[in-house]
Amino acid sequence: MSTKSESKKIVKKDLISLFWRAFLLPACYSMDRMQAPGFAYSILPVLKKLYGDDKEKLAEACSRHSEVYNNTFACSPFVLGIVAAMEEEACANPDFDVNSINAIKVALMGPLSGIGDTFFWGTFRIIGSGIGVSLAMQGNLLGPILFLIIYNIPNFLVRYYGVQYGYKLGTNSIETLVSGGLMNRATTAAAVMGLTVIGGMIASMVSVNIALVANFGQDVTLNVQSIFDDICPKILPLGLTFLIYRFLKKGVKATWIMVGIIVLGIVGKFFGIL
Amino acid sequence: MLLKAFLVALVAGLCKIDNRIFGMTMIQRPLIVGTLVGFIYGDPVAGMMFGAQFELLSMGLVGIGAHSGMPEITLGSALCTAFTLGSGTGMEVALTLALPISAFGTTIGYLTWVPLNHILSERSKKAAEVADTRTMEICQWLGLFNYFFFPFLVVLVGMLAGAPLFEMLIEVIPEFITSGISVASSMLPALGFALLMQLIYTRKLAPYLFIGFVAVALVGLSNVGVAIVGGILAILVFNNSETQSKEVSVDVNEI
Repeated sequence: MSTKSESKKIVKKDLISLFWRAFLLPACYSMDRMQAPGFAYSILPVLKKLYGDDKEKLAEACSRHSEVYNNTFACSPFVLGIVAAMEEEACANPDFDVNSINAIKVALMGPLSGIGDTFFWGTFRIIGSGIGVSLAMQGNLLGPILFLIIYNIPNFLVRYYGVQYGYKLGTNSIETLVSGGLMNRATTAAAVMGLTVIGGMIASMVSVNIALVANFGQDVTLNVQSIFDDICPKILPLGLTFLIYRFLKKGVKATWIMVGIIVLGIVGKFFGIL
Repeated sequence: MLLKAFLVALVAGLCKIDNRIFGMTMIQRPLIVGTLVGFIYGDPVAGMMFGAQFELLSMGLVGIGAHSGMPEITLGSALCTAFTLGSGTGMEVALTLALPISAFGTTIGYLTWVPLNHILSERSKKAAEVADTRTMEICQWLGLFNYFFFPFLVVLVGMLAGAPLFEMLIEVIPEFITSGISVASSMLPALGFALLMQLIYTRKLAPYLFIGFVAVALVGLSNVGVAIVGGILAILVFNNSETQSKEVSVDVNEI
């Protein structure tokens, strides 16, 4: 490699290779260092290209990227793009403080995985599985297919454009994104969509039916379920969801709540209440 | 039987590495796993419908950092779909067993791929210190292999040993228990939604949840309809938050 082209070594092909290698990023996940080996694995081609002839610097860079790393999977290409740009800068400019590379990585991990989880687990997946499950329940094989399509279009777009956008951002300034409030706004918007869909699905997919019919002598009966339905249909599922949410907030383990619901179902059925 | 067991185990193994090489496409979710196992048993629709039931139950069980001890629902749904399709009955029982079996899968994980990948992770770090890039790459691929191989093995053994046990089990369980479980399983999605709310719900955003609820409970909108309404609301919120972006933020620490 000639010294002339040092300022611009990373080309689009390298970014595409980051995009592909990011798929394997979580493969060597461990409880303590999490996705660290994967991050080093994914960024390797860039490091090799930049430091290829200097074994010592390559080792240094490899170690740097073997530090603890964890993120929502789909957000990693974006971080890889930023890191690629910073490594390029570090390679070209001897005064560059390499510690800032990991500092940026760590700074991005928290907010990005928060945003990523909201978007991918909390919004896209919910919409996808909500639509998929309701079709599947009617015996329509489009259900699982639509689920995958709805979820994966944003998934792959974010991965593909993430790495390129990250690289561009890394070469200019990262602060604009973090401090501009754009990430917060986007997260809130995603949460709004997710919550609206969750609200709808509480009504369409949770069902609590009270079978109890109170009998007051001769023909005077009281159907408990119809009273609740008169107040507002599906009010019981809504109440149940919020009750469980309260329990979770108080630190009750989800497993115990699940056991509780199953016991409630069996006992309720046994006494004819549910 | 042996061929089916092998194929089910293969599906489970491949769906399990969804996060590890396919980029988290959600083929790990019960709806997809159930459908694929259904194909093996020649009845994709039945497999899909079981998968859909389990998908609802496990709605809130997601692969987020804080939930790292979560049940291995991919393994559980593969096994239980196979059990219920293989025996042609016992959907409620299979549905109930799916979560304990998934939880057991997590235990197996702690004994196999978790410690093994820990060793690989350490090895990779050592290799990085001397710029041994080849070893780093091998560690990464071996990690992937662990994630595939052990779930594959667990499901294979589970298929061979579990199916006869399962058929015995549905004979002995009294009717009120299975129907009680079926009542419970229609309530269980509430837990899933509550778990999700932990992720994104704040008091400030509560009205949006109620809009969604009312749209379905009172107006009778479909899930697609609610998703569209949610999308419109999201755009409105995004556009209107321009000036006051600092005030509305989701508390990441609440997860």
